[in-house]
Amino acid sequence: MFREFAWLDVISLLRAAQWTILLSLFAFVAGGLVGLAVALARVSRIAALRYAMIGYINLLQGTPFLIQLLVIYFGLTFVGIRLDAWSSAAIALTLYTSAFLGEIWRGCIEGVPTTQWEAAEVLGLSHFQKYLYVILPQALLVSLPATVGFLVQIVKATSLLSVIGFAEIMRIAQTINNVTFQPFIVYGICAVLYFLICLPLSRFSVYLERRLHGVA
Amino acid sequence: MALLEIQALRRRIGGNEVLAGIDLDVEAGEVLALIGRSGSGKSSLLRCIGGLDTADGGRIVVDGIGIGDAARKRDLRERIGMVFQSFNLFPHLSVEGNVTLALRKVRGMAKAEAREIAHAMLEKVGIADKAGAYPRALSGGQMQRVAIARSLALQPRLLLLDEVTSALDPEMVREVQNVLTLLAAEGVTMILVTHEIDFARAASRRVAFLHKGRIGEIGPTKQVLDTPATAELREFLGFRL
Amino acid sequence: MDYTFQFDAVFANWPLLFDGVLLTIRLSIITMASGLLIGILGAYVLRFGPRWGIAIVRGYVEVFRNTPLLVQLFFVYFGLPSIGLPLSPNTAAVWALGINLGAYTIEIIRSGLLGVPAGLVDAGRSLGLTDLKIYLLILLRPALVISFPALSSQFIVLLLGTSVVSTISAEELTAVASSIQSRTFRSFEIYLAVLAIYLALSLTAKAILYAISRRFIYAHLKMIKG
Repeated sequence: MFREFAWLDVISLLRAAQWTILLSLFAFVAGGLVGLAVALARVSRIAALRYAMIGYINLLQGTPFLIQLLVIYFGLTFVGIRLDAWSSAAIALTLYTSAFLGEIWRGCIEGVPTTQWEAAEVLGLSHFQKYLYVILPQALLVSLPATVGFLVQIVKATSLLSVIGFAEIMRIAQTINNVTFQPFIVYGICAVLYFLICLPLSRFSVYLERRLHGVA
Repeated sequence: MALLEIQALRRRIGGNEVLAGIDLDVEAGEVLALIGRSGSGKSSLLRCIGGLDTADGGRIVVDGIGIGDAARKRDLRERIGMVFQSFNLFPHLSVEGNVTLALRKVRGMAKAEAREIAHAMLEKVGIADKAGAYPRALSGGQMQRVAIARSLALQPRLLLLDEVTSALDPEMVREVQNVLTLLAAEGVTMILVTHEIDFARAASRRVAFLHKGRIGEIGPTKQVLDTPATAELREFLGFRL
Repeated sequence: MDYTFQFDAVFANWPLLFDGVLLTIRLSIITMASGLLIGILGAYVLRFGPRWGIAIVRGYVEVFRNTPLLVQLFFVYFGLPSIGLPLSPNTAAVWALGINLGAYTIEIIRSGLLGVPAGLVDAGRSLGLTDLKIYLLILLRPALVISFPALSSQFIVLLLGTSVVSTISAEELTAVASSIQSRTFRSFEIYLAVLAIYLALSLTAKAILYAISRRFIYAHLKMIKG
């Protein structure tokens, strides 16, 4: 059943790369939205909410993403949904991303000086308005380098979705390798594809970091 | 009825009594300077009036509204403005953005109207040409004048100034002092905390000297500063005994 | 809901899971040691090395930080044998994890070195020490002290990352779990239990690293920062 590695395989890998990118973007947007809620709950005035979020973040940052993925994948059967790579991948990536972005943003929210809260208070802004117009814009600006940096982690994490059969780069690479048995070339090309996706993000993150420190 | 009435105000931090029973009235149109050593309670008193710190006892009434009256918190906020030592401008907003934020979001004004008021205020503090600039591009004196304009735009009945010249170079202190003198002439009621006697002398009509959480001396500026009655104030002013 | 939890499979196989935990700990420690060694060497090259050496280390750091561990692992395990370098799953796991970690530790120690006063290098030179001796005897310790928090979190990432090597059937906790679930079909319960075990492992590791920093690092930091 063996055949030579062909240009067609490169095209398959490029197609799979689209899924990797799409999935990463999805994780970033969905995880970012949940992560914002996590960050706000983490600095909430309600103690129970804060503790719940500490638990949530510890759980997701203190366990392997691979195991989270498998628990969700097999757990969906438990609640009566049949095994579905798409929804498992979406849920697992969203939770994972939300915990990390939530923690990054929490740090940045807490990094905004209390004097900014006071200045907003004496102007009469409501609690919600203080967040919306004063605190969050500053926190998000400071968080940009780390946020973009975490995008690299998301892209890399999507490679593990191959384990549950999601057809991203690694999964397609494995199927190609199974019939061509040229792992050196196949996984080499994989590495190049990931590198081409991640390097610009890494560089952009470093650039933002420098700019932030240059300005501030 | 005085604009500001304070009775038996107490505040404790840890085991320390920072404010140990303050009684004070401030009339509308008056400029009062609070002086004293660091730790004397002058900033704490100002922060209690501004609603940033909560007192442990006593009461503060501004324009007939008690501080701590949750139902009238907004009315109270509208009446009190506050300016800080470190300016506390919003770094992500332009000068104009800083001044218009509360006008638009708290007062619900249209953008054009808010801008008009902002420019009038910036004109008053002499910095209208910097409306489009961001705080990081301004000098300390300019930033403090913007902070004052931001507060004035809301037309507070009472303006609280917490060491507003302490972070400034001498030549910039002048800029800010001039603005305050102008406001005093317009009848804006102000309470300013300062440890600079010259500033208190130039800017205020009445001085209260705080010592260990109490008002040690209070009276017309010239009288209090030229003929201090207590040993503590004499020592604070550097009189030779 | 027609599913009932059955943790029998977990309890019946606890000795296997326990072995898995030990294997994961062993793998993590070996990898940490090699990753740290790579970091120390790589950071030396970046600071004192020739231009070509710096270029190689930079390239290594960029490539391995910008590609997934899984790809690196497959490349090592499947790819290297095809060019005549056969490796057992366990060996491939240590290689891939160590090289992966090394890319991060180089960067961490490099930035730690930036926090060490540059005057120390001049002081060392004036004593006639070689670059290597200046690095090992003078700069390295404070740099590691400064880097300790970042190294700690990278170690936790590595500890969790070891689960990835189950994909080539290297021996560790996740691989053990995977083989139990394929026999018992109690996948959900097994992975849930393993999730809890990893959480306990990483929290313990965090506590140990924190204790180390309390005991040794704080005092040193004070010394460096004066």
